[in-house]
Amino acid sequence: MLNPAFIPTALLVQLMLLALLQEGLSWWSSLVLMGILLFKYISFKAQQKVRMMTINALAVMLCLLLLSQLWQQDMQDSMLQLLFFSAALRLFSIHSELPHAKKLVWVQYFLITTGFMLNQSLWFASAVFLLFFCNLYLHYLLFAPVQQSKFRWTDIRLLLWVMPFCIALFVLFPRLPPLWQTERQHQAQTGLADELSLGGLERLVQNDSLAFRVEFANEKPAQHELYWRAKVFEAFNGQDWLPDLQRTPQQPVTTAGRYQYQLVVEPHFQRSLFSLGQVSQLQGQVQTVAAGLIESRQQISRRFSYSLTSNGSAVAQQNTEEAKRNLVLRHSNPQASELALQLKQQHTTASAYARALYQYFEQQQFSYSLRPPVLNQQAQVDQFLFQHKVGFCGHYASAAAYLFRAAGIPARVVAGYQGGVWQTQGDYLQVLQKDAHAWVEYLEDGYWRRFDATVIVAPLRLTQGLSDALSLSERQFLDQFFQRGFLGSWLQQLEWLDYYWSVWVLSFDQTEQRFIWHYFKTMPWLWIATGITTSLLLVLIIYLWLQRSSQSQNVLLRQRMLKVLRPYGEKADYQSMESYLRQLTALHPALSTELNELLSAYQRFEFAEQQEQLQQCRKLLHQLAKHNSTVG
Amino acid sequence: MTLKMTVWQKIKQKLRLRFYRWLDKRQPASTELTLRQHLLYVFPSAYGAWFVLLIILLYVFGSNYQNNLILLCAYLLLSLFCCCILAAFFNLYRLQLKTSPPLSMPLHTYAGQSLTLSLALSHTEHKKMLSFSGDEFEALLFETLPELVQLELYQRQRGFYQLQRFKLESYFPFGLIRCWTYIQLQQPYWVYPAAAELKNTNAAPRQQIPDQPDQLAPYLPGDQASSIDWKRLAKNPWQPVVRQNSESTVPALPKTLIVTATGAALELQLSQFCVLLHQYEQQGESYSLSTPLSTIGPDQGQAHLHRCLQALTLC
Repeated sequence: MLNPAFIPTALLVQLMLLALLQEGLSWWSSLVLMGILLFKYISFKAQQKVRMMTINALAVMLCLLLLSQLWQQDMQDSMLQLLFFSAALRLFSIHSELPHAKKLVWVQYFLITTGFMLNQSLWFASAVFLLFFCNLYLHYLLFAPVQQSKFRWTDIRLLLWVMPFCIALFVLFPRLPPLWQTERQHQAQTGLADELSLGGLERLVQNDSLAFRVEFANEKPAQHELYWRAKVFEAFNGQDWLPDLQRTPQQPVTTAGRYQYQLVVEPHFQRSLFSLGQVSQLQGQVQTVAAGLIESRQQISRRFSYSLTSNGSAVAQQNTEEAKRNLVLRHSNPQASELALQLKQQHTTASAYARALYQYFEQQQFSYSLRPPVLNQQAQVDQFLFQHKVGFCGHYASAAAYLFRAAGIPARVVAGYQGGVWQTQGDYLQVLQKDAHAWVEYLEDGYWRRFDATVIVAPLRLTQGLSDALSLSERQFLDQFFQRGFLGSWLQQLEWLDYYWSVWVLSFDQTEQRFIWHYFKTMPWLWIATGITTSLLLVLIIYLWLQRSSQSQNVLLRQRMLKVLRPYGEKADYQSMESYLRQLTALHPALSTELNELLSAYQRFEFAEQQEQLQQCRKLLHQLAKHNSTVG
Repeated sequence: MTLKMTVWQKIKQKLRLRFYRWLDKRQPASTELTLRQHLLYVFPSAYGAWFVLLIILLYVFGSNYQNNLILLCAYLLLSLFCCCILAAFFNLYRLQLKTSPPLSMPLHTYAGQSLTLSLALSHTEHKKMLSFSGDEFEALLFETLPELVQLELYQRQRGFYQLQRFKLESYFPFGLIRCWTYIQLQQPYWVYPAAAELKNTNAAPRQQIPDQPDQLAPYLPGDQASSIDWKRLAKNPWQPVVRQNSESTVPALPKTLIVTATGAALELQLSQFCVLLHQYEQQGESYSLSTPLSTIGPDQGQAHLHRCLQALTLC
């Protein structure tokens, strides 16, 4: 017999789930699921039973449909849809059968949990957990008394017992490394692209979603030092800069760094990660690759956390091959090359040349704009440097890199993010997609020095952020992408909660677990043991004391009577209180009035439950005790 | 196929017997019983096994995608499972069962009638979804426990029975863990022979005989030899006749019922006697019973009636 509240609750759960998992469902499957739920609702209202044949036919049809879509969809999404279909059809088939309902609850547990594959932010996770507990309630309904559809206190107490146990398991239960590699196939990458065109990064700048968040352990670098390196482009084909890195894993230099920081990266479905300058220590599932960059071992499809130590210095040169590679110029921009040679003649060292370039950009009235004119000539660098003189960081970076290479100084374009916003509540740095930036690194004395022409052209870009560096009209242009509702800005306020959610819960891993175990081992166990035993003893004593004080007043009264009356005569075990008192009356005729009064008061208290007689008893006992002491 | 089945059934039967013998040692029959640790068995149910599979799947899934929230869900379900073990245990723990208090007459019924047996329960707070099942009665499920449980025992043949071991089980809460126990309560009961309609019996018309002295009646076993009409016996030796004195005049002599029949006739006689005994008791007569196994002297009263009925039952 199924609880009547089961089907409506299950319908509600699936409806909420449908809304939550939209991201993983294709439009047609959402429609089909919606239809199934609607039909179930109608048939439930009409108390109609659906034939099993109909459901089986529907299931076969849906499976075929899913199979036909399999090649166009991500495997994971297909699995999600399959699960959802099975859950919805199972619900469709339930009329009042318990076995079906049991299976439904089982499938729903799985389905709800897969919701965490889509999104792990605090808000989404709370919604999923809410659904999870709704399903738990459904599970409870299956085996609970039918008349009672509410949780009782005892059942809630069970849940309260579950919680600490669950947290302990989460913190202490050993974890496994990934068993097999899984990469999402058709997932659009976000963040930095794999090539940088001359006017690249525009698309990113219009996006104010979160890229990653950083928390520094001790020292925080100055705002203008925050160059987050993510990608290095070494090959230039006249329009685009492309990566030409040999993926040679490299051992990190293990020296003490000035800055110790932890990053929590939003999923961007790439492997590249962010770091400040030369990295000296790594923690987490990350590795160093060529050009001093950091990479994850697998595609980042969920929030990912790692810790680094850098000293903020320039990246060291790895080999001579690297220098040679970064001198290649396959495409010619004659004017730019001429300028480079001119400047090189005046300034022989690389750093002097860089200073000259800074000067050049300053004097030649270059300006910063998000909407530069389109570069359409063959020699794009020339067109930018000598014709438009208006551009964005991508323009400046590629032009400067060209000028360096033309002067015979190895140089490369680095893409990443610059700056970020310090969150006052959380004391962490929040880097958004619009902080995307590109700059140049040139080689001098075995180190790759940073050259960023934007510093000259738009100094505010570095210290105040992008929007302050722009003119009013450009800012308005940019703002149109950042329209945020009231709710959005309110949620923005609570962003720091989400941050700690990802730091403490989402990025908890084996490393931290090992650390906790280690911490446990080094705890002063002797002290803790003595502390626990003494507190247990204390609790026991308090418990006994409370027990004693809460003993019924009848027992206490009887004890007191025995104690006071003992001098007058012993009470035999077989005697009742009444016969004992009568015996005493016979023994001590002088006290007969008091004893008789005591007897009647006692009887009235004990048997007629007249509470006021207790006082009377006590008074009489007091008199008797006094009498005894005066006699004695 | 059938042979195999029988062999299998035999093995099963033997195992069950052995198990019951072990249980008898562990929990000898008693009139009052509190469910303690040594009586309660706790083990995951089939759904619990599926649930464990779910937990393992989630754990693997979460590990593979290094997804902490999925792992958290797996741990949540795991801890729920573990807590359910305790909850299921405490759902039966300390429950007290008592057989109905000894009445003036033994617990009895008549063949062909069912018997309601009541068990008093105490410490029933927070105990839910308990089912009683056994070979002797229809399984019962109680959502919340009443103070008094009434078990409707199946109809049985006449005889003296002992309430057999029955099962108490509960899946509460969440159906993941089954907690159960086999209980043997000291509760004997009698199934007396069915009380048949009186046909062809000479006792019934005899009651309706008006108060007339020297009424003649056919001899019945138990009639006193002195009252036999010897003259008539000489004429017709196959139909002995007795001279009957009216009760008002002669002090009533104890009626004697003697079980003589065997085979199929036995059951008929037993059920007739059953009715007769009740009639005598109602009329306040003194009666005695003699069966091949025992003889009960003349007496009257409820205790005597039941003694006689029990003697009949055991024939």
